Amino acid sequence: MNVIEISLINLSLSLILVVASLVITFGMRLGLWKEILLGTVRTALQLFLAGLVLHYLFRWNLWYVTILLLLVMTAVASFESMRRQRRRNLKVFFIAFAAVICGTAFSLTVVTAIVIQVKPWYDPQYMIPIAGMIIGNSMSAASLVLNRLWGELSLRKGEVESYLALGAAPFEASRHATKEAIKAAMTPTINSMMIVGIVQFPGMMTGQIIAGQDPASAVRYQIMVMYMILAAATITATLTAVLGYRLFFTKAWQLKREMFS
Amino acid sequence: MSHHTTIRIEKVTLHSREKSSPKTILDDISFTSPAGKITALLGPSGAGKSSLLRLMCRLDDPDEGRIFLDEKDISDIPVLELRLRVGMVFQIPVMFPGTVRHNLEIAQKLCRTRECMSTEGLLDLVDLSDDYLERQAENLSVGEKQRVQLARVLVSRPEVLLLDEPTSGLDVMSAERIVNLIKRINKETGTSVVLVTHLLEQASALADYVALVSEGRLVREAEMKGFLKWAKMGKFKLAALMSEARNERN
Repeated sequence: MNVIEISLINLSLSLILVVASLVITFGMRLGLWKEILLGTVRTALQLFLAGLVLHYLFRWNLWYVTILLLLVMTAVASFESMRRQRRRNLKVFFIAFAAVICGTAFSLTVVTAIVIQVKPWYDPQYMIPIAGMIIGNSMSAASLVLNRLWGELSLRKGEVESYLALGAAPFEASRHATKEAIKAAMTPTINSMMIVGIVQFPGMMTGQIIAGQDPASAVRYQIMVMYMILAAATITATLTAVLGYRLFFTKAWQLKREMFS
Repeated sequence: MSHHTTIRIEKVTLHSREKSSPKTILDDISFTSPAGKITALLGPSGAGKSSLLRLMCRLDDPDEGRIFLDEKDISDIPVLELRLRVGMVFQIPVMFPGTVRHNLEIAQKLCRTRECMSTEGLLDLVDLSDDYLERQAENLSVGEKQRVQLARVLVSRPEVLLLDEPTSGLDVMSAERIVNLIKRINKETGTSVVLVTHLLEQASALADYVALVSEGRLVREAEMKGFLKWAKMGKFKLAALMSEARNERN
């Protein structure tokens, strides 16, 4: 099966889709045109740049360059998780970073070393796209956990302080909030597992099929990807919650007033 | 259980954390709640009474000043020990999901270092029959929830009981029950009580000692008898407190 190449001219015709979005948002006066234009430009630039980086990465095929890129990707994802919070500080960044890196390292190791058995172990052709999927999903999980933790603790302030006043440590007082936050962060992943292949064909599988891969092989990859994302989201969400609840308490087992004012 | 513990507030100041409109909640307050007595923290709504109560069990820390429990700075007492020695009853009782028994068992589990009270007979202390143990805590009336909250706090045999407007939102009968209960607990156990109220009548019916707070400042601290005499002399306009008391009754 041959892949139909997209020329730059043909690619520019896909801007019709952006124009359609712009027309609708203008018509509805949604005030989103700046974001759409910025998103359009960033998408093109970031992906062209990524293509360029991957091109050289595959050519060099060096383990330390692959690891460095993975670290950069994790750092950017952690920064993005922090940016999505009401209160942003370095602690939030490091919590997200630790959680994302653990979730990613586990899933990536299982997938590349045990399931696919990539050789050499750092082969960027496999490592980078797979890690990209994991890190993206882990980032969302970390953001969701931190947002939900704040929401739950605000909503249940009375309950949390009742626990604290009875002598509960912050981890005991916030147990309900952390559980809810982890569940909230895992729900999108679990939901997508329920509908995959029925109403949703994920990017990786679609990409492989368009690239001429046998659908049976693409499906096997996709199943692995879904399980990998589940593990990464679970580990990242749990670690973010376990580390993140501390952000809302003082050392004297008090809710930080400034976090909720 | 017979504890006689003094709480002393020394030059305490507390500011709000709102960046947009920071204000002083408590301004250089000092007073002593005598051991084994009931002290009423009296004052109009928004005077800073509840904020002061929260400082006594370190749910917040003051920006300036210190609080002593039997002459020991509470910031030097391990938090767990402090929270078990000083029991806080909130204005709005929050029940944990599950039965009343489950609520009491949580308090027992959290007791850890301290010899706690057993579930049996605990409800009797707060004037509820043991039939309540298996009832869903969330389904109780506000008055019943308030008594379960009190029982939950009593599990750790606290030396000091902090009560934040414990009769707020209750009908006259339920409020009276709570008032009698506080008296009984204080009398039978010797537990020191600090009671926040905006009702002069409630304060005079319950307290041995009064600290009058207004706009974050201490206006007067005195024994109840002396305080009432002083108030009658018109040194402080207590009319507002009295009218709030009447509104509450109606």
